[in-house]
Amino acid sequence: MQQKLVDILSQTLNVSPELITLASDSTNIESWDSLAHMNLIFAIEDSFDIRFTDEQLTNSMSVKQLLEIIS
Amino acid sequence: MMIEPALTFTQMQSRLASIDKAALKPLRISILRNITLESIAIPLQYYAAQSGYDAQLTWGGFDTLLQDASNPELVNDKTDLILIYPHLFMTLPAINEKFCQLTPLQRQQEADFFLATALQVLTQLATTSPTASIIWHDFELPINPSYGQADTYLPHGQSTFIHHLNIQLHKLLETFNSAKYLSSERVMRSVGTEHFYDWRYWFAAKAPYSKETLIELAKQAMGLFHIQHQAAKKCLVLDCDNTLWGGVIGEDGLSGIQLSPHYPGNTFYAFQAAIVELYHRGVLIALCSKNNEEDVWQVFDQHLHMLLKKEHIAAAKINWQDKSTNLAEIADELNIGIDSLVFLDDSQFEVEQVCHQLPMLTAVWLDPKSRATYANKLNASTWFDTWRQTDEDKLRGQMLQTQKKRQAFKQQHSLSDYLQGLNMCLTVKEASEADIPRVAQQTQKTNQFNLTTLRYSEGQIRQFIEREEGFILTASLNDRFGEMGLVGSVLIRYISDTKAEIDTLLLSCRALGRQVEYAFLSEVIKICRAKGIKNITARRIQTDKNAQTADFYVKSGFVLTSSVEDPTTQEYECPEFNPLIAPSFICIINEDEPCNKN
Repeated sequence: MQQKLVDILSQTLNVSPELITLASDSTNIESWDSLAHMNLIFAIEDSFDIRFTDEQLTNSMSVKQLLEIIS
Repeated sequence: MMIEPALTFTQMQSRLASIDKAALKPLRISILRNITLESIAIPLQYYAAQSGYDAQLTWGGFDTLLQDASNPELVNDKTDLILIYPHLFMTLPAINEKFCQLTPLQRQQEADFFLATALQVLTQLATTSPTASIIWHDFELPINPSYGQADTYLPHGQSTFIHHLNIQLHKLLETFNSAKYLSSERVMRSVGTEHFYDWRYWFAAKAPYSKETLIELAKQAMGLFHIQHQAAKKCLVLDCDNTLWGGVIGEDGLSGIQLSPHYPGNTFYAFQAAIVELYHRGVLIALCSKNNEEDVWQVFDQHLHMLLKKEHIAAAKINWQDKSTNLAEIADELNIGIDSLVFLDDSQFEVEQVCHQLPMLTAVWLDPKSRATYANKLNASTWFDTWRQTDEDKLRGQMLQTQKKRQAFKQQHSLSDYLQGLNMCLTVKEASEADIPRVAQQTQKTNQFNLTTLRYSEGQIRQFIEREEGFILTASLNDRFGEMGLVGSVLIRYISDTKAEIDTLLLSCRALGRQVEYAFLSEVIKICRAKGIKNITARRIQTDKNAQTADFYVKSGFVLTSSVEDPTTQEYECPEFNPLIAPSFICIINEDEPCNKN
């Protein structure tokens, strides 16, 4: 489960997978801006077959939060 | 080439990551918008790559349409495509949110304001980026309009109002040659109203569209661009058994095959009707079937419900040879490239086989388990789509019949008797407004006798003439069998008052093998001289397909001026006294001079 998320993060944010950790979020990954976040949500919704609620949409700019949402 | 099934947003993203961008042609796209649309980059780049382009996107500011249209950093003469997305929610918020509160006059003022802005934007773009194609996304009709369910039926409802505004926008766009509208209605129909918007992002980020809509928007925008810039397929090649009719003629016999206006034969009947429509659009129809030839022709001659007739068939290979050999022979016989063929067959094995051996061919498998979709599949295809139908297109099938008579005449005579006996007459004249679509089409479709293979859109051709960058000459041919239409074009580009370059010189394949090219060039030189051009240069750019033009300029008395180092491009110069004269058996008419037959 986590590997699939890492793959999506790495591809969408254009960072190498080794740099993505549990502590990664929009403050320490430069390419993780609000536009990239949109693509990220699109990709996660596609791959995990889920739909983010309005609240989750804004509270999901870190790996920790994303993991909570997809688990 | 097999057709790829539809992918999801994420699949497109991973597909893009593995694409070798170096193999793609750069396509500079500028996007002007007043909504957040950045996520369209992924499907747009994906569909561009499918057509062989590396889409390089430049984004206009948020809601700064008019300023962007005059910003040379955003739109300039290097821009290939400009996508314009003014969304109703942002452009006309009053129409969107408080339509019921507006008086008819206020509504009209809103519409007028928008159309005036659109005109300004387009006029501006015509100067800042004159050669780019423009695709303007029109307004979506509201899913839940102002007057509720009844709105659509009210003459002054919101739906009707926006619909009329779109029609006015379309008319405005029509006056700009390089501009087309992207029909939001088509996009919405394809995605479905339920999935069209993603309201979460509209409120959070002014991004109204769902990812499904973004995919469809990108697909249709690239589809429109593709029609304008890439060569359409020319010939539909069909298998017979279980493709044109149900069953196997060799086993089931004339009365046993399925083909009639009633079920189940009507699936094939409908498929044939779609094929005949394509014939009348100018698509060549050919047969490629493993069968006894007489069996197949018996169906054509005797079956009551055959909509497809013998006279529709441009070429037929009905034998037991492998299909890739037959397909190559069909292309050869029709004098077109294998990549201009689309082959349809119900056998997956055959389709895979020919795809493997002829990778440039478009081959599509018709799944025999879903025959009811055959006609629809053909109607939904975009292979043969062209922006405009020219007279040549409509007559192509008919001209092919006369071509067969020419062929027979050729076989009965020696080459010199044949050429003498054709009584050819070549009319050379400067291209008029009416010729522009055909000239542009020729630059896009002609591959074999094309010296430089530079592709031009109608807009580019028109601009070339309007700006007097040079002039264009066309050649129309007729012979004892009838008119052959416009067969050749030459584009002469001024370098100075007395110097010009032959930018493009091409001849349709149906006019080849008659030395028409020498007659045309000799007349072109004569016209250039009459215009005071002393120094005529020319170029030949080698492609996979124009091998037969290799020594054309040398044979025409031109002198090679480039070094031999670059085998792909050669440069030539026409000497002051070029000995080239038109072949005696071709009479040349320059505009209204009388025809003096030799």
